[in-house]
Amino acid sequence: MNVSSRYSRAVIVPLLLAGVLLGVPIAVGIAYLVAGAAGWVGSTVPGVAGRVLTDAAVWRSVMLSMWIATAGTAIALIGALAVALLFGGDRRLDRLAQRVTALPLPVPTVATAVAVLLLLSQSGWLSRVAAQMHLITTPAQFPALVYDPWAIGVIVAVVWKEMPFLALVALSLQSLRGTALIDAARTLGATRWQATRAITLPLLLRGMAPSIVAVFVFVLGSLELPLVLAPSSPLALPMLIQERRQALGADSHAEAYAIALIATVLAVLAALLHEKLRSDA
Amino acid sequence: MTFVRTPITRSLLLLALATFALAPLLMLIATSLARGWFYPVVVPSGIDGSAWQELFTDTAHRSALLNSLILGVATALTATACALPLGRAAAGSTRVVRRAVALLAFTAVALPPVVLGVGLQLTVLTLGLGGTLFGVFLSHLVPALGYLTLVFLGVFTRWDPRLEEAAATLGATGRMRWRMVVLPLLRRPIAEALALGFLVSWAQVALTLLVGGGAVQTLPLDVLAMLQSGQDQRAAAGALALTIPALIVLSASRIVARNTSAVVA
Amino acid sequence: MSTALDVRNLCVLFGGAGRTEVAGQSVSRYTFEDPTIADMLRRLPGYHVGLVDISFTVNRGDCLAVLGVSGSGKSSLLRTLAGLQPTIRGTVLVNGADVSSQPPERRGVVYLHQEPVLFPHLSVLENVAFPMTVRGVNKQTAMHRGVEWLQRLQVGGVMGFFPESLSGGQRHRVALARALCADPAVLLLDEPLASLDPAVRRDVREALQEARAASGAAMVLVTHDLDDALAVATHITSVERFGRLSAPALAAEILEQPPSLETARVLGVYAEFDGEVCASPSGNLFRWIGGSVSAPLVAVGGAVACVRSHEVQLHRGNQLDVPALTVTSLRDGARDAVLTVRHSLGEEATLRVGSGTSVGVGEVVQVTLRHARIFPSPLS
Repeated sequence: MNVSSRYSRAVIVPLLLAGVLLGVPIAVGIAYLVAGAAGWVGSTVPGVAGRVLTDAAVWRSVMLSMWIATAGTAIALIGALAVALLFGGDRRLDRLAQRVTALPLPVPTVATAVAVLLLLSQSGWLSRVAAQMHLITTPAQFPALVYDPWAIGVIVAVVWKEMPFLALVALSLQSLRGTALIDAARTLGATRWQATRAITLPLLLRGMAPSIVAVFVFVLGSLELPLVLAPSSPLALPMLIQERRQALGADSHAEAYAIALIATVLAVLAALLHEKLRSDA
Repeated sequence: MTFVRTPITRSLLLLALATFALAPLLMLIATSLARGWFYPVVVPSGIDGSAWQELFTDTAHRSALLNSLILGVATALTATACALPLGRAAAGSTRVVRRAVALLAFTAVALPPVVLGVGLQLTVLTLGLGGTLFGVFLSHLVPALGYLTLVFLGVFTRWDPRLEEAAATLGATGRMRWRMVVLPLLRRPIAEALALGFLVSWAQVALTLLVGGGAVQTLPLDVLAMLQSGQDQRAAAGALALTIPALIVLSASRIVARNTSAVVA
Repeated sequence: MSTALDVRNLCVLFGGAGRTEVAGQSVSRYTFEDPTIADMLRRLPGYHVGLVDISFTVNRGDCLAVLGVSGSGKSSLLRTLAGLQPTIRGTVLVNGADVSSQPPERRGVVYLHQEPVLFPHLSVLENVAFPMTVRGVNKQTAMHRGVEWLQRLQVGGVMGFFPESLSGGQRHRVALARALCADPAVLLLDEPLASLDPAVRRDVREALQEARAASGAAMVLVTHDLDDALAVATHITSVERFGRLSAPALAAEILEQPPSLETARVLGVYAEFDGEVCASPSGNLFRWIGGSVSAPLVAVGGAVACVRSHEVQLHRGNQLDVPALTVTSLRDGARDAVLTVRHSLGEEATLRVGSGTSVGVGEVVQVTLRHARIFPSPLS
């Protein structure tokens, strides 16, 4: 019956393709992590998983990465919403603003890191301006914005890099929806701000939810920014993994795999959340 | 709140936005061309193009640049060629399959490259590809495929099946439909996918580091090395050299988009 | 051979894998006793049976209109005929050849979607020449024929434009021209006039009439609007209960004598009232509260009369030899007036008369019927 075979072909082919192209590399990668952590590959170091979960340094890294991702995503989101609300129209000023906002999009993360370092480090440009204005006399007097425990430099770089993406999502959601709902609210007596707060913002946030999750998880797993801008203690999670992996000794390697598995679990949870939000939208 | 929307306030905000967006880029340009720019000088005293020159004359830099280009182009072409049929097949399938593929693709993208790199490191070593350009290329394919699958999944979910239906009843066979209806309408998404695939590989750091094991040098790794050894001017030039092709590739795909009169995706 | 399209015992499915929607919840109420169909469906998840045992023929140059409400499976019927949906049972013959297992491109059947689907990346002329291009016809000849058809359908002026800049009526005409350029044996039109505003509707109706005159194709047109069907079609059929199709009737005659009560209901232009057919020395009579009408062809038993508004005559007072009825309600509309009349014994009937009637509520009237279509009562 050529119809039922056509139907099952429609289901099997994509699953097969996806399995081979995507599933296999991911599965293999994770399998090696598991094997490495359990000690089946490389030298055996039993009890590594337990050690990693109780290691304070690991948790400090997790906290730092979480902080960077949360703060960075939140500020980028606020900026993106502001751009969408203030410059969401069709006039020349709006279009100029949209184009300016989109500038950072293609810039590779490494380049962003370098630029932010040059701007915000204690011998960076802002520090020099402060010196010229006689606010400080030595570089050390400039507040530590990079390599600092609050990872301000990293967060600034995250905001610079991710706000354009979120702004673009917000702008396209807005242009799709149009002004019908706002107009309706305003004819019912709401002020522009009330209509924005009660209608536009919630709808925007709901539509942006998958993108927000995506940005959060990208920042969480990014190596380039902490590598250049973040402190060496505590290390951001990706850096911790890399450090333990490069270190000598089977212990560290196994720990690296175990920590990487924690990050994997976080990533998979984020992926599930993203997919759920995407299909709800 | 009405004061926020006045033209003056909006212009000022636009200025602030522009400053914020341009500052890092201007900083890179300035640093890459500045001669002997030391603390606490705010404006550099002279222009010195030596860093740029070195970027293209130094053999090590040149080979890193070449590696990045090769990896970028190879990743773009391969990932696009694989993701297109996958996206189409998944979009035409049941809802469960669509979601499963989307989930898988997003996982490939959401997994920190460090994690993926650590995992693939051993695989690549086992296959004897450790420290080779090909091994790095294979690792770059994973996130690239993830991104591009999501792109094509979106394209084909929004696809109008009636176009091919109409073509079929008008007498066009499968191959003809593909050549005369589907492909022309895919010109724009393919251009965007190639650009995105290129960028994913071009800007990649973690995977190259871990799978290449230091033996494969690419432009972003070069920039990091220069930064870590305190060569700010060269690092800035390298960062710009990293950025400019990205800008070109994206505008090129946008030009293709504008010239394609068909807007399906 | 004048029979262009011959459909035999076709079974039409709804639904399928992917993003096709299942049309019409009424499908679940259909039952079918045939175990082989049930068995086949089990191997096709997501499909439901819509129409069963569909058989009809359409000759060259004729146009069959299929009437029915939305969701009744009319679109699925066309799509099955076109080959866009699978055929699990039945045969479709085009010009005598069995195309039931052929893909759409080899059937000689062109399907026109409800919204005209033009290729956005091709100009109007390239669109129209498309069927010739895919057949390998030399480009110049293809363009030439394309121009001919565009001019014949009065849209020669837009040949250089792209679909996005065309108006609604123009898009319909271009799509028609393109279909006719394929020289099809059968042309299937899926609700071509639905959701069009009156001016465009008239325009496209004319285009369809021109198309029918210009080509020798057999047309099957699906619509829920009787006026559209009457304007374009030569024969009319309708989708009835349990997924059947009524026997096609000539469009010119269908209003006079619809083939069944269900079809009459689908046509929607009659007022119905109940009565009974009794035997009498002069033949069977249909008795209702307002009198009786001869019904020679209808069996004795419960029956329903279908009457159009201009066939009802109201007479004031009580002079005729028929029962007197009291008007209990009256609603005057733009096209006709609906009134309820009551017999002295309490039974009521609803009538439709021409609008602007001078009869008022409470008045006593008598009714004569110039013409009535009598059908046996449906077994509900």
